[in-house]
Amino acid sequence: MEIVVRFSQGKVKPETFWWNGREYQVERIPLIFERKDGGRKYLCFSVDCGGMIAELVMDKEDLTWRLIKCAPSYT
Amino acid sequence: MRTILHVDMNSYFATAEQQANPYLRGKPVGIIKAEGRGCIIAASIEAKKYKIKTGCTVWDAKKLCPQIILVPSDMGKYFALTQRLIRIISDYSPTLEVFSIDEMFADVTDTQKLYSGGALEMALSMKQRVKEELGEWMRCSIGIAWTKILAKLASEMHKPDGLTMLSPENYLEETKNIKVEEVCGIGRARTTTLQSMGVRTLGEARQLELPREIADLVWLRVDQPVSRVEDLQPAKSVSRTYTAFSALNAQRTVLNLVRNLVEEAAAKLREMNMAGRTFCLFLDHFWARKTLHSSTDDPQIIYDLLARAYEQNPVTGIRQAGVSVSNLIFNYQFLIFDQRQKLLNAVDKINQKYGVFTLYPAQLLGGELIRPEVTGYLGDKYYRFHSSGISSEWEKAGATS
Repeated sequence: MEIVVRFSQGKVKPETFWWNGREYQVERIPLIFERKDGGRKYLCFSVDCGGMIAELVMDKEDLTWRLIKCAPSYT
Repeated sequence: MRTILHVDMNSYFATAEQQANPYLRGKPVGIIKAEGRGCIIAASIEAKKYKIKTGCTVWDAKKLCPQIILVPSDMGKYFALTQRLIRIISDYSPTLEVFSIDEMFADVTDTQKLYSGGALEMALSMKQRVKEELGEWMRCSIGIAWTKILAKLASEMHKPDGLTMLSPENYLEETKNIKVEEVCGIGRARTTTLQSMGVRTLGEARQLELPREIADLVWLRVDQPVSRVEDLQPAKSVSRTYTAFSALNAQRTVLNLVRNLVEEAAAKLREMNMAGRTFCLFLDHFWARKTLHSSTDDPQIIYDLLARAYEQNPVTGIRQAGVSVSNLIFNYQFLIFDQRQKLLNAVDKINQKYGVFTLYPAQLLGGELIRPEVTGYLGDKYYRFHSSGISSEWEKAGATS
């Protein structure tokens, strides 16, 4: 997955990402929260990309990004 | 007279999912443990209108509301929001009791004086901050009274998004139609006793001569202090239970599940710097208990003990499994020459750095790993709030308010 994020006012926000050969524009971020796995911390962004709701996760240790959940928005 | 606030998040798990996914908002949502599970563990406000409640089967829920949307639970997400809620509420009072993942009490007797509108203004400010900092869809009901039991009842009177204040003048009248089983402390046995006397509501119960301990509950005279972080008691046991998707018909599968649960419970013990002497295994109706002379936090020792107990009565076809460790001691010291403890320490360090179950026993290879999960009632509060970042932020907030 490739991603473009914006650092602004001390915060990081995903803006666009490419997954499975498609580009997704993040229209809004309804929820940001932190997950823990052992001592490892992840910053999670629930993002609304119009046609899809996804959860993008940033590993706070190595700053890698992953997409861990996605669902069509018509549910 | 004290002033206690009870903050209760409305339909918490389902509302959190609606916050994360705006397309679920306004729709009936049922939270299930995982895909394919048969029980609703939480229902959205919209689903509750169809009489769908916690504990309802998926089959019944679909009969009541065919369009219900089932969403697997995400306890990590809910606990992250709870941590944020704790930080908000601790800005209003240092005396805060986290009752469960979605409920907390705050004693605002002194701090309400900082607000010209007192506790009422404080509660409105809390509700506003919940919306701003947890999300615009997140709602809470707040009850204000002078005891915990009354504050909790008050918060339940108007849902969702309610704000109720009980006073010594109005509380008997306001609570007379509340069902007896809704009072914290009146459990199944007491409810059955009262119902056998023809009593269903508090108003009806107040007409009767009742034993002192029940009368105190019925007249809402019970008054417990708000327990702060420093009042929490250390855990008396560490346990982990799991319900499988289908019956486990092979002994090997049952033992692998037991091993997985033992690994998780032992890792929790080590994380809490504790060790135990008594170990229990529950498999549906089968149970076994073993006690050692000395304490341990080694999963291999615990598993061998429980596996031997299982092999004496190797039940299969079970769905529920549980492992419990009790007789706990704190500050467990191991011998510095004990190679096994050094190995466990190394495993813990790796799992801490790279994630839980990065290293795990070969016995569990190839199977699906059951991972640790936060429980709704936060049974490990003492450990979570004493040693986690929350307690320091909580105390910091308390010190400045």
